[in-house]
Amino acid sequence: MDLSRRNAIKAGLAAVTAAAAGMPLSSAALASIKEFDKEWRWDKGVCRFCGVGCGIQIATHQGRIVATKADPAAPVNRGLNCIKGYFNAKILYGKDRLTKPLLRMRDGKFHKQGDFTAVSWERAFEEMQGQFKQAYRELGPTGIAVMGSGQYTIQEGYAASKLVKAGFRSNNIDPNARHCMASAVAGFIQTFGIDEPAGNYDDIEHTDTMVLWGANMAEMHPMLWARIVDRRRSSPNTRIVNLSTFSNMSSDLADVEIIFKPQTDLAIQNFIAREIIKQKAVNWDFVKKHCVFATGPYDIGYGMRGNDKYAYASEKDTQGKETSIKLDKYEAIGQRRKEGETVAQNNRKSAGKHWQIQFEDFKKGLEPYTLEFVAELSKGDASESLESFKKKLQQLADWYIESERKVVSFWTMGFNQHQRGTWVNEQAYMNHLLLGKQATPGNGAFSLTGQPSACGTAREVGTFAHRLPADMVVKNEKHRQLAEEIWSLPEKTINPKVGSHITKMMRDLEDGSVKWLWVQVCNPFQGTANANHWIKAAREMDNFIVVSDAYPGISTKVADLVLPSAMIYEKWGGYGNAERRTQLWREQVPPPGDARSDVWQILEFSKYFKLKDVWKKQKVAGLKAAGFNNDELPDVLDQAKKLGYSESDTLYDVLFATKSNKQFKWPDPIAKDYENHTVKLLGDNWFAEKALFEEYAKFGRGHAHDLADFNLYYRDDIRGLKWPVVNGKETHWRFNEKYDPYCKKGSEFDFYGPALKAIPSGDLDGITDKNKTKLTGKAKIFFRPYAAPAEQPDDNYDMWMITGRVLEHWHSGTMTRRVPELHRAVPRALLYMNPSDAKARGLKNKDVAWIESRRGKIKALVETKGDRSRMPSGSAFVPWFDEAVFINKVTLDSTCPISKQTDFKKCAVKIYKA
Amino acid sequence: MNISSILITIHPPSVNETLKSLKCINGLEIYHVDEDVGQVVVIQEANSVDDEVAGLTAIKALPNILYAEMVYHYFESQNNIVEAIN
Repeated sequence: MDLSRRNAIKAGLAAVTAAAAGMPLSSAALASIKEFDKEWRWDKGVCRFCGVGCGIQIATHQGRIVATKADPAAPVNRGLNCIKGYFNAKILYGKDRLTKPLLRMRDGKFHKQGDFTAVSWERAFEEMQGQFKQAYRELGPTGIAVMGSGQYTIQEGYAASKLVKAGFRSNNIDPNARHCMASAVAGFIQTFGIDEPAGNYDDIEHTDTMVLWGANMAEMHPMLWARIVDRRRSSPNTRIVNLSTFSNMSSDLADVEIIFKPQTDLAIQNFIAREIIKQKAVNWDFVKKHCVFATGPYDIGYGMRGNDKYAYASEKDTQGKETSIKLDKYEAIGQRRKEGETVAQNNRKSAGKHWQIQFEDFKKGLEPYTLEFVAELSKGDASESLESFKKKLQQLADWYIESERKVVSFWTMGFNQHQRGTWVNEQAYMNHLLLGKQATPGNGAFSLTGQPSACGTAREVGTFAHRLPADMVVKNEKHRQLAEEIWSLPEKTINPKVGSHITKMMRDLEDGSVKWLWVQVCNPFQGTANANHWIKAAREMDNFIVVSDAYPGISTKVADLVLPSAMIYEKWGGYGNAERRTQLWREQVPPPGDARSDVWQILEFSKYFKLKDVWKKQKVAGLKAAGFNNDELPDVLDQAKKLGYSESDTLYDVLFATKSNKQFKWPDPIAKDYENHTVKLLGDNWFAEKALFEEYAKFGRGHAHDLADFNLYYRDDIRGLKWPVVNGKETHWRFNEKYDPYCKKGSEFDFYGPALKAIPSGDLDGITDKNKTKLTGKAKIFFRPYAAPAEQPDDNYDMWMITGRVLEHWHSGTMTRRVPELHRAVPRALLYMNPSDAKARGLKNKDVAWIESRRGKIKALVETKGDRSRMPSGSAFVPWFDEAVFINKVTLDSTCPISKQTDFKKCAVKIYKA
Repeated sequence: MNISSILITIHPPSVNETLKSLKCINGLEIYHVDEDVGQVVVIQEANSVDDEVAGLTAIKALPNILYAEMVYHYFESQNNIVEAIN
């Protein structure tokens, strides 16, 4: 490139950046913007990494991506990007990209112990469908499973969910998003009757108090952090509190840092609530009009297996707590019981049940959570004085309460990956609702997400074992009927029994109740806790595991068949971020080799099934309760004929290439000159991604989940829209009459979510009146007590192990670890420890240490100087991205019993010199 | 060769001092400075992606830097990216 061209590019890049930041520019600089990139084809896209949903502009020239930039018009990131955004284009070009289907073969045939051999797609699907049919014949709809993701595009998730639920009549589809925000979902549904936040990111600029609860936003959500930094700089009254189990980068800007013991956030929230009442700060006008008080059972277990049949000998003591626990001192006080009392976990199967209580009961429940009690229980850093810690807790409560102050509480995995994740989410709403600081600009409890479409796909499409699109659930007969109507299915096609959540699917592989598994857009064999069990099950049991991925990782290694997938800008797709913003993009470049989009993989696979293979009578245990005779899914083939289907129609014909879907023709003017490899390969000229989107949108329109028309998202001036989109207008704050068209006129606030809005009544100990009261338009303020973690450090396993992410790596690192400089910035996952803990174990910085739990052990390099993760004594941290430091062999597969989300944030380990 | 723009936010009283330090980082050119709010745009040119990220890391490590991120990235050729990754 000649010098003048290079200089023009440099001047242009600089001018665009300065303009995005709002810096004043000379006319020469402004002119340089117009000239240097005019040959490139620019299009808008969205970042494929975290849940923030930053806008990215992608430039292609002669069939390749030549540049990317933060989108100055994107309201989320306003022309700025973090380092992950920067790698969106580069991840497409790693040298070990998977480009051919790979089947384990020996002597020309599939063999579980065979070597990976490149095969054609036809051969891959032939084996895959044969194995599917064998498992399906033997075990029925519960014997097969699909693991999906919050990284599914909307259309991928919708296609997968429809294939599994409508086609295979199974509910065994569950995303890795289960590990990410299931507790947030359960918290929303239980509190508001509808999923997803009321507010949006503009709350940052509207508020003056931001409380981070287990959300290290400086590292995990850098673009929101950039906005918080700006807010803090430009508004001197702004206060930031960082609550965490260890000191992290977000503490650098925080006015107050509160280091607490794992799980004691439950107690801290109750202290705040108690303080709100004590200081007579309850907003009674708001509470009386819009809220009721509620509680539920405490004896709900820890989401582990109910028996020790598969537990290692060393695991049995922890597993035993699933059915019975002995109350420790703090739990006993917090639950108004006696220390040492044995409590059978009788409500393991009914953990989510709840009932209305009176304010007096609520107040009584909070009574033990005094400053003294909570400070003693929760202080997480031994080097801090109790007095200093108490002052901070009081300051935190006071800032929440201060009447002139607006407050936003942010959280991600610290709350969600929690043995009482649903409770702690509900407690965040408890305090905001008590104060009436919810659902207005700058006020609200705001659950952030970790994956780019945890909201848009996993939650809204409903790729969960219990869900259907638009917050509907399989166990509700009316919801099934509505889905059957939209999908043109015979009555009673959809299975009413909730399927296995993603961790249970792993347990199902181990006990042989699932024998066919398809992993899509995720790396669950690295990402699931207590991994030794699942890897052994995958490799040694009689089962067939298919993994679709773009790069090799632990999951592809344990697979029997690997399918090469297209990545973000190699396909058409859409994501929905944490503020309900739906964003769609076009296919920018073709996928390499034989890699194909997941939509194509799902639709092409559906061609291998005739209705008579899947819509016959099927035995499924437990269906009687849902009104299905003899525990059977009925034969629906006769009814199917009445709907105009033939039993030899394929699932492709009936579910996907339907008459109405085929009306969306390809080519479409919205595509301009962009290609679509999915449509080309399907070969019948219908615009699959558009048709699937429009069909899916039918579920939500008119039900407070309204998406706009597909085409509107592609309009040049649109950077995504926050649903519900009513009459072309997005909704900025939900449940607030001023902004949300779904609120009843004159209500001011209307928590109109319909789920779980008729509940019995009782007191703190249980239900006293089974008659259900309707709670139309109301939110619930839950009392939830402190509950001790299922596994705590003891004499043998004497340290807390906390896991998480680091800025430069995203999730299991199958993408970001392709890029060498990221790799070098954090070359391998380190074991972060307090220097005093290291010293006590004879360890120095950069020594190799064993980390051992009841479940497994791994080696890692000790880091005591960590300038970003500073551990209090007694706690250690290992990020989970590195497959060479496979920390999930160590972690505990305990979940929140309500949400079934795994707690990756606490287990007990011992650490010693290797 | 890759070219990137980096937006930097500096604690305003330290802008001049920090600019001096930025000038010492190889391959950096300072294009725009707004002293009042402490914002600076620099262009980084580097032979490998590796050098480029090392540059960003060096910027982030300087005192008084509140924020530094790449905004715009130009890949001179796809081969170049592939080489850098290999």
